[in-house]
Amino acid sequence: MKSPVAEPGTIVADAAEADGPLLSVRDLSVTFRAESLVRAVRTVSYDLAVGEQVGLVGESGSGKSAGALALARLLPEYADVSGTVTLDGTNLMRLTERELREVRGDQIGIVYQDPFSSLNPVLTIGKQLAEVLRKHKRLGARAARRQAAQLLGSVGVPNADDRLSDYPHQFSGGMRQRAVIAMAVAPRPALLIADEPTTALDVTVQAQILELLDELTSQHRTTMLLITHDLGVVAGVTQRVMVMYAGRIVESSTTADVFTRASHPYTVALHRSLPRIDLRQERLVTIEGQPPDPTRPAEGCPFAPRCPSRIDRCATEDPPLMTIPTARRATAGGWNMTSIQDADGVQVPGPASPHLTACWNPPAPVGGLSERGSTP
Amino acid sequence: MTVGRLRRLEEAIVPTRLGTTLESLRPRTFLETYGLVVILMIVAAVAAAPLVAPDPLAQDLTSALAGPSGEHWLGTDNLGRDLWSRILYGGRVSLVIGVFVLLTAGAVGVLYGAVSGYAGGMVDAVMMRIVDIFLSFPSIMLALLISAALGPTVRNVIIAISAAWWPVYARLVRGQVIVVKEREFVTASRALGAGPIRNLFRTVLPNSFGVMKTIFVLDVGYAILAGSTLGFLGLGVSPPTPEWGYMIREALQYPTHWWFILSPGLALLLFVSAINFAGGIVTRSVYEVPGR
Amino acid sequence: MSADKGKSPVLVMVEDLRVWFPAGKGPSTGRRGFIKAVDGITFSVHRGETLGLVGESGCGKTTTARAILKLLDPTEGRIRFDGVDLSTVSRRELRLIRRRMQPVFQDPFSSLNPKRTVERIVAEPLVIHRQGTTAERKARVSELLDTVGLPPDAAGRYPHAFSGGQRQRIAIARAMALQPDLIIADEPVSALDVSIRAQILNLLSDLQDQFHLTYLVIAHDLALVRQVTDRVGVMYLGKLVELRPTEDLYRAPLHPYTVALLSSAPIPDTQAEATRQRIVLEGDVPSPADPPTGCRFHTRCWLRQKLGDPDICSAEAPALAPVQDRGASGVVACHFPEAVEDSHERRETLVALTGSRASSPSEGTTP
Repeated sequence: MKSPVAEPGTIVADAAEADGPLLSVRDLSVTFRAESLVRAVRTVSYDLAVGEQVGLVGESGSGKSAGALALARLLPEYADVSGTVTLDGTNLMRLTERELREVRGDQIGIVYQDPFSSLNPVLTIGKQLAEVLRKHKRLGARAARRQAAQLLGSVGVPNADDRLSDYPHQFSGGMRQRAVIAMAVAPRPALLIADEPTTALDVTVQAQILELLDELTSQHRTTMLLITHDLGVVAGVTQRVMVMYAGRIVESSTTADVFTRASHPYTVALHRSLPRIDLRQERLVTIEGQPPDPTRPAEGCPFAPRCPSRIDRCATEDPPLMTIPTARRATAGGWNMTSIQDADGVQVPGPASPHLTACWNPPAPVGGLSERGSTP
Repeated sequence: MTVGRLRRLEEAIVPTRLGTTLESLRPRTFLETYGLVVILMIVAAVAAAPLVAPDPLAQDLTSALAGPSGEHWLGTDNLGRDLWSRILYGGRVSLVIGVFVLLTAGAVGVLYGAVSGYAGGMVDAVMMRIVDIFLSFPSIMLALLISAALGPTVRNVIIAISAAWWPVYARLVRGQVIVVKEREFVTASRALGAGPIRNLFRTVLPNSFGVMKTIFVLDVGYAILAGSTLGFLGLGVSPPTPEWGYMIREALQYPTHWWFILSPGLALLLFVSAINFAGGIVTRSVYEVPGR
Repeated sequence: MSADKGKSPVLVMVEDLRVWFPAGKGPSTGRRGFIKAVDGITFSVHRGETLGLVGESGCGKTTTARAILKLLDPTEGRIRFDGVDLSTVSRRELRLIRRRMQPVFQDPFSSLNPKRTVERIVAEPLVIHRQGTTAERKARVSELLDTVGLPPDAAGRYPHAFSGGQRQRIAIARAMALQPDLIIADEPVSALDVSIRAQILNLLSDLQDQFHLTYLVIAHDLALVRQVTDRVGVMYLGKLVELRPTEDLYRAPLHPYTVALLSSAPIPDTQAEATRQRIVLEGDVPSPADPPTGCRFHTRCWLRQKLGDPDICSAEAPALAPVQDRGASGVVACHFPEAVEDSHERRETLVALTGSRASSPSEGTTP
């Protein structure tokens, strides 16, 4: 951070080198107690290794944001959270509020979607940065201010020294998001959660912010969980992608695989339904129906009502995450839930896990852009 | 969690909140239930006053300042009038003042604020300066002045308090209207060709009432208090019409006859606090969605 | 396709439109200033075509749409709808014109009155314009709901009972109620879930075919714009910098800002993302209260830097000029469009966007 931004891609995180996962999530469930129960996240498990950049993709209501905010226990009071979240050996679910405050910021940094509402409008940017530095790095007032200027410069804000005395409203959207990122990375957290960090920004600024996040996290080997609804956003920044639908992870693989060999019908359909910047399609392929109602979780697979490759089994049994060969054997018959789990155990998405899909009848692997370059 | 996301979350939850109007008006806590029951009891008793109480104006100097007894449940006042009866009939006056002040001040304030907020620009600036002038007087002072000038009748008390109160509503409604008129469904309505009057009354106002409802209900209590204050200061409803505030004023001269001051004081406390407790029900219903 | 649509009659003519909003006192001058949201743009929308307006927030695209809808008044310039000048139109004529152009807004969570049933929402335009009896309106509403793909029982319910995509269908049904000629859609799908955007885009396209509608679509998503439009106008800081047939624009952009936009667009392709070199624009979009002199884009222009900061860029505002002499159609406002054509930045951008097809740009168009 103290040095200016390094060349991109100079350090490539090597996941296998770390001993265990940095973050280990097991059976995480989030239920909002509203007039009726909203089951936002349903028994989600995954691992993140040190230095990994992982995308969590899903549309609104898929539980992607609730699941990520639950990691830092930042959900409102009316949310019930169960399961375990282990960060660097500590189960965050067992910590007291006081201990949690230390973890947030120090070990988990968070970048929100809307940079305006995550900054205090009545304090200058410099004061807010210095406050973070003083709290987490135990710096004196003067040293904190000096570092704040450096920090702001390191996230690409020009004339950082002068701009410290500016208030958030004097910053443009992109600059504000840079300031928010500076605050999030200042304590050098082990895990950075970026929740739709570019959704509120313009295209040209979006590209810059994504590059900045990429540089900062690779430079310090920070693990990044990038939450977005936009498949395009994860393509350039992440190594791994987990796709969420109706509170479950439905597909998990390397980013390249998710783009070229998507195996869950939802991911495939999503690829196909997107307008493409490289050519105009005769007609967009639609995904029929509406996203599921989180207050009424379906009995079988939540995507079944909208799924073109649905089979009988989908209506009654919610498929677990499994490898594609297992899924194929399951389709062929004779495989039930127990035998799948006996055969290759419960599959948890992690740095070394194979391509996983939660589908009883995965279609032949198709990527949205595998036919890029050919006429449809 | 950002405000935007919370809003989305609420939106996501909304479809399941199909509380009908009656459903949402059901009390849910002890205090709400208590408040509602007390209000209903007081209203019923006040309405049935001629059936359950003697003439509140009948004097009987022989039994003046008598303590509670089988004949006079709450005792009598300095002129020997039955306090139970005077409390009930006084309750009528209070209720009338409370409700009519709200209707008058509400109607004037809502209309004024709505026009001011919707018109915007110079019209709004001028209209709001006028409101500021009204608001620069303490409202009770203003009410006192007007009441003193008009003379002590129930009608004049209502006018006096309303005159002091409408600017508050005008301002609140104006604020709401300014927010709501920028919402897209209002723009959509304009783009459809809806004129300003239709737009204001059919589209903007119905969506600006949320906060007002809560305040209206709570303010019935405060209007009753204000009426009694005027009475207490001798500028309210004129004697011999029974009125709680004036009763307290009279009772002050007889500090040793505890029942005299206790009944109107307690009546006022019970009624106003009950309205406050029950106000929670309305507050809640405001945030529920229409639906069948 | 775009060529013969260009020949069809003009429905909307925007001439030198300026919309300035009064702003607070400028920090340096102390004088009362103006936010020049739209500052002199000229274009036309032809019957039956879909014209797209793209640009980043603050470029004036939404303000332009609102001016056409006459939701705000132009500071200068003229808008003609089917030959009628909107600035001199009487109230009665305006009512008639409003029936013929309808907006569809971005956020279906706020564009529908939450206190009304779907039936009343969709019937509102009919009521305002006193069309039909109650029974006829009822019949028309169910016909409209059917047209936009909603079940008949939707009529009696309130907006909150519907998902975002369904609400947008309701909004479209309302816009269609008076059988308009022009639909102005401001970011019609960006507030919707990704998985239902295609449904709404296809619906809009079907309605266009069925009812011979003209669309003005405002969007920031370049992939979407390519999919739905016939011509595209690119806006920057209140000015139109390039207006071209869609396929031409995406295959051979001529303004440096257009190239930069295309270069920033995310591509759902890991390989392309890994290898592409993005054009990074320096700094932020300048304030529309105090726009740069000359070409508005010159302060951030990658081409100007490359050309060694020619004076003309900061001295003289380039006019929108036809590009026929380069064998293309449309107009562009740049002093050096030929330098854009020759730049390796443009080449790289196009290669990243189109993958292998870039080598043979004549192929791969859909009819």
